[in-house]
Amino acid sequence: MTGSLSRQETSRCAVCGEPAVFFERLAKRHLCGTHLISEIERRVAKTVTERNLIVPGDTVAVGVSGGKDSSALLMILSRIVPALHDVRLVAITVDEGINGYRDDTIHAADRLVGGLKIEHRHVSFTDLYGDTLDTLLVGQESRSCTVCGILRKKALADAARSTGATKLATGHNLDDEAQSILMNVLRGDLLRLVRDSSTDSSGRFIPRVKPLMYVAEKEIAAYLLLQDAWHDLPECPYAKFALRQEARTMLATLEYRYPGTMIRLMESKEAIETSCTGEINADPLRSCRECGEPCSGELCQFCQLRHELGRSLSGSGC
Amino acid sequence: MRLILPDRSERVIATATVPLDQLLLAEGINPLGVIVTRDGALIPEDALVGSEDVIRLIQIAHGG
Repeated sequence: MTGSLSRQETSRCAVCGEPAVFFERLAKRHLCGTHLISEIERRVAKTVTERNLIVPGDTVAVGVSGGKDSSALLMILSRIVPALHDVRLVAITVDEGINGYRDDTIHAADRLVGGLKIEHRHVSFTDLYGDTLDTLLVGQESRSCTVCGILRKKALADAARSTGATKLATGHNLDDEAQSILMNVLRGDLLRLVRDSSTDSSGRFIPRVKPLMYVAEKEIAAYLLLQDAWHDLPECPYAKFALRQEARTMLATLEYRYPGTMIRLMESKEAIETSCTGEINADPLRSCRECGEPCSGELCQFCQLRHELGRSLSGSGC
Repeated sequence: MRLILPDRSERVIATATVPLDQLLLAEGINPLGVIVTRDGALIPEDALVGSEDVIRLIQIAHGG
């Protein structure tokens, strides 16, 4: 049988009958490019509205690294927020200083944000903390994602605050969320498992929202490719050190063999959250004794890290 | 079939018409970790691919 014959047997879109480009494994249906794009945007809009992630009057700071997830997030939000009325988007790009990786994605971010004519702020670890991530991590590569995560989270939050943002949106997708759930279970960290950072906490921190939480990584890649917005970008060189990488491989294998595994993990987490309401002895929100930022212990994660690194992290104000 | 791998190297595979996901699994690749084009156009993971096709695999890098 030849390739040309295989083309005659092309699957058709379940909505319109055009040639399919994607197979939704859980729904067991094929979609063409047009209907895959509209399905993904519909699902994100539904997540945003049903969970009140973004409401009229919000200024939404969007973390845009230029990688696939944040690029798709900004594209989708730019299309759905006009229907939400009086919502302002501001893109924030953090340059951690990762040689051979971040420059390419920052250029991609600049092109995307410029094309969408959205306000764009840049911040860098060098300006904020006095050094690149590469330098800060010397001898501590095995902790790379923890260190980067804490510094990046603070950089994004501070930059978002400077824009007057009322929400901070990140490009975490279904795969990311399912991996985080699995990792928190493996670590026995029930508090982190049920923590809800999208909740407004009396203005003490900017609620973080994840509009792509029900969109799979593969769907995001297809979404971008279909709109000529896919860039072959490298993977972070520190990713190989992370537990997340192992969780990612394990979950992808399970998802392929048992479609819906990731969604069911999300549903399980939500069921645990619901049944644990008021039952878990979570520490009340406190103020870091050194910087005053909200935290659950004596010190915030950033100040703990600053002590562990044994340095001032100049420019951080601490 | 010409198979263009994520690192842009190429392999020629002698195969009958098979579902793409079966081909990927035989190559040790999880179909969820890549998106695949034929003649530049995205195809679903259960598409039938044959001996005259040029198939490009695009690795979905984590992050971003």
